[in-house]
Amino acid sequence: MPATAVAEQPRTQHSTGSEFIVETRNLTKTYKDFWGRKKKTALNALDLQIKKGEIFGLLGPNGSGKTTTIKLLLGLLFPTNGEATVFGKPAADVRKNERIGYLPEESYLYRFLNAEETLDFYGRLFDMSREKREKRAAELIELVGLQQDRKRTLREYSKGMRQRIGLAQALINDPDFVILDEPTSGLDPMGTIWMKGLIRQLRDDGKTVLMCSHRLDDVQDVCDRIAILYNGDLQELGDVDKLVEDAERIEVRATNLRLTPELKNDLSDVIARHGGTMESFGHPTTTLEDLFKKVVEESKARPGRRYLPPT
Amino acid sequence: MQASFSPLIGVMKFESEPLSFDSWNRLAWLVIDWLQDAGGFAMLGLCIWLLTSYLNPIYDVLPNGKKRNRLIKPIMVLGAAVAACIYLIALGAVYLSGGDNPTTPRIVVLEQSYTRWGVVLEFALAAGGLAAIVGFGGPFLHDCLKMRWRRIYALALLSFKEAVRRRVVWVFLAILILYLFPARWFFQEKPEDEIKSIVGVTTRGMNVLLISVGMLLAAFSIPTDIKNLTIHTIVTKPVERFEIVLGRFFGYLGLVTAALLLMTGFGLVLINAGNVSSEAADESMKARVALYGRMQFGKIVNRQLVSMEEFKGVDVGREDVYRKYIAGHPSSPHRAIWSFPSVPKRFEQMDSVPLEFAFDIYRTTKGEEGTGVQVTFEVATHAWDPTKRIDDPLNPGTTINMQDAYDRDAKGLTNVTPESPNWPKVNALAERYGRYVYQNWQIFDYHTSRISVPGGIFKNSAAAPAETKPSMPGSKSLTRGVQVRVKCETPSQFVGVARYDLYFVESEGNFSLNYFKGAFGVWFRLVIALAIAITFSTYFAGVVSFLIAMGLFILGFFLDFIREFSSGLNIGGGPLESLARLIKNSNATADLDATPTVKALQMFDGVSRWVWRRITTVIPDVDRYGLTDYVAQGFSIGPEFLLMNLVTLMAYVLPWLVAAYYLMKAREIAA
Repeated sequence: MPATAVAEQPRTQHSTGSEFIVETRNLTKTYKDFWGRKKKTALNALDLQIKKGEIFGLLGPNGSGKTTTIKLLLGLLFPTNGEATVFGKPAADVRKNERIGYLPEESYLYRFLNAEETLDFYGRLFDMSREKREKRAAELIELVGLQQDRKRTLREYSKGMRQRIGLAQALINDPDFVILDEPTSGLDPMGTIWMKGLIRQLRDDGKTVLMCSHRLDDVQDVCDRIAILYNGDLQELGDVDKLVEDAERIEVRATNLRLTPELKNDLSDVIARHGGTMESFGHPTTTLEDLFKKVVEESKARPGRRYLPPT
Repeated sequence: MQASFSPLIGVMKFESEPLSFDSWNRLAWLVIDWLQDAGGFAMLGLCIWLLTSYLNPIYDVLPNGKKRNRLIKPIMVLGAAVAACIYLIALGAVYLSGGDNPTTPRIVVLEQSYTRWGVVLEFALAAGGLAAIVGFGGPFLHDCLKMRWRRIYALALLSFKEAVRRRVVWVFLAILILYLFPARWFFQEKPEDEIKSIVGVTTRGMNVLLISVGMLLAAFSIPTDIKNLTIHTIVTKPVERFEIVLGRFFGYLGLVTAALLLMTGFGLVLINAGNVSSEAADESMKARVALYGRMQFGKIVNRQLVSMEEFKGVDVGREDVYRKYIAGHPSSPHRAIWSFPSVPKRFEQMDSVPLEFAFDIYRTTKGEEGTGVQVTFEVATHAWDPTKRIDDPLNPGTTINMQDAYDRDAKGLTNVTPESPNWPKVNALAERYGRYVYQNWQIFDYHTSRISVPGGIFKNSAAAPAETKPSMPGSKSLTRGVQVRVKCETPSQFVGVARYDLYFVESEGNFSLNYFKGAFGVWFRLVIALAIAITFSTYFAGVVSFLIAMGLFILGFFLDFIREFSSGLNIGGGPLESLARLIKNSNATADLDATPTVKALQMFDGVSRWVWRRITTVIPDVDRYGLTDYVAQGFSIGPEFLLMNLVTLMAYVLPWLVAAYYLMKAREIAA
């Protein structure tokens, strides 16, 4: 558990700048065989723009083209057609990587290095001086809560620990654009809450985040805008709030009331007078995440707290 | 006469001339050959790159909205176009030189003789190669300027740490086995050969161990990174692709260099502190700086030594044609002549200068048992002319033949050694006439001997004015210097000689320092092995890269044979013709019946020779970098020699690194 848990902030609409960090035009990736015959189109004519200062989510089932998109943006793959720019530079231009941080899906780090050596290595790749590397490494190790384990090799780390050191290496250069591929993978619920808080913090610090995840609730919690890919094609794009809004229904929440049949009947009459139909009437549910967080916090506050079955 | 000779000291056998900065013409041709070979491959690479880049472009959008293929640079197109035009000229020269015959007038360019169109062809190929190298190498050089040594160092350090933490270094301890089990436990050897066998065995062991481990590490590094996806976290940093290649290369080179230094140091400590026999210490714990001369054959005609361009020595039928022979007899006219146009000035201050030699003996009769073959050494300067008339010091006012004057003054001074009280007289005689003779020295097979040449010879050579025309037979332009002429006195025997069989010992170097210099030979080979393995690893899987690299490296030990075969100089023909001979049970030297089948086989062999000639430019000449013999035989490795080898090493390795640059640049890391 990281030492400094980042407080969860409710998602609000932050003002994002008009400058685009990422732009793709007709971006296509087709895999061919040895003879040049088309095998599979992993990404088909993607037109996408990611604004500065937003958290952008990339969703889709397996094989939809999410990872291909990320790899094209990072220069790990070359497009078959179209183009992609990051910070106004072509995606294949190595110089753009100066301002990018990337957390891969699996922690593809060198397991024979320990945490300090890992961050020192990646810091050198950014041509950072020794003092700057050491300072930044110490800050990040503290941020991700690995002070106790900084001298252990990554071979001895758990999946969650490797995920956290992976995040640390993604932030070693204090990037302006952070790409996170399955950032909450391998993290326990508190770690997930912490990660989401960190992502929001990055946005609040003016950074742009591109997040790729299968965990839809995480995406819904943190992302400003999302794109949904399926079979290489862009299916949906827009603000999260607007996309998930159910315009067909109205939700009302109230406090200081008791659930009684009379209340139900009165509300039903009001709704009917306005031409509507009551679908459900009862107590709203919180999220499992909120419950979990509440239980953990109460347990910390009251040591000895135990579950007691209802009498 | 019984010979007293120093015990076995080796002699260097150079199958090909060692490179030096003195032979500028030869160096110039090496550069031209390199431009032709490397340029040819550069042109091939350029064509492939341009073609694939047009077929699979990667476009950048420029600020003005236009698109540009980032894989193609203007200099590449320009270089390819210029090279193509020049190669067309070369093609024309090939066509026009088809009419050349032995009577076609020839021009001498840089000491090589060519017809007119032959010269055009050679230089056109070199110029075309240069244009292709500029086109192909230009973007490489440009991107090299973007590289940061801190990043390369980080990657090198990563490679080093990886090898250490994966305990690869424990493998190097296997070298201790060679020290724990000395060769003399298993082989009969003379005591004086002990150091030679220690040096030879341990150096070979280091070669095998370091090169195989280094090659394994290099061949598997990048493919493993790609397979484990760890490379994703590097390529997504501002790291040029070629920095990854260089980082891995320098990292592993640092590791094997450290291992080499430790092994060499350990070996030296064992040799110095070990129980080495005194014979071995006298024999081999030396580092002689040898002064070699140019060698030719000559003949005595009318008391005059004349060189005979057509006489290249006698071929006695030995398979090894490294040495040629002179016939033995007291009146044999054959001479083997070594010319030394310049000698170190300090020779003039020395009382005697050692002259060492080791000749081969070819016997036509058994001879007397236990007795060697006798040779006579005549050391003469450019001032010595036996027929020249000089003032007679004993009869003022008259003149006398130089030969007669020498014979008169040399009475009683035959075969004098420095230990004799007559040595100062011999020295004075040598200084006056510029001549010294040692008669009937007994030589034995595989034994190196030494005689002392009086320092007066060199004083005479320095003091006498240079001749206005070549005065010394056997050398086209030698107007000053010292010659050593060898004659075989024993009838019915032949003495085999080669250029490096005779030399003056300039000085004695330090054995320990020389031992470390010998390790450079291993280091040069390591650089080659790593460069080849790393280059293949940018494209192929680890196993394939290792196998190809190791295969190429091993082929390097057979390069001379492959060159011979690809030039059609080997006996028995190509592989298919050899197969036909085996099936027909035909002799290797007999001509096969000119049937259509045989002609077809020979044609295919001709094609395979063409292919092998191209391949020989890629195969590393690893034998060139074998410096073990120098150390084992007690010869100093000169800094100029090391520098020259370093230059040729860079010339070989650089094209591989350029290839690695392009392969890595084109590679889709995540595909």
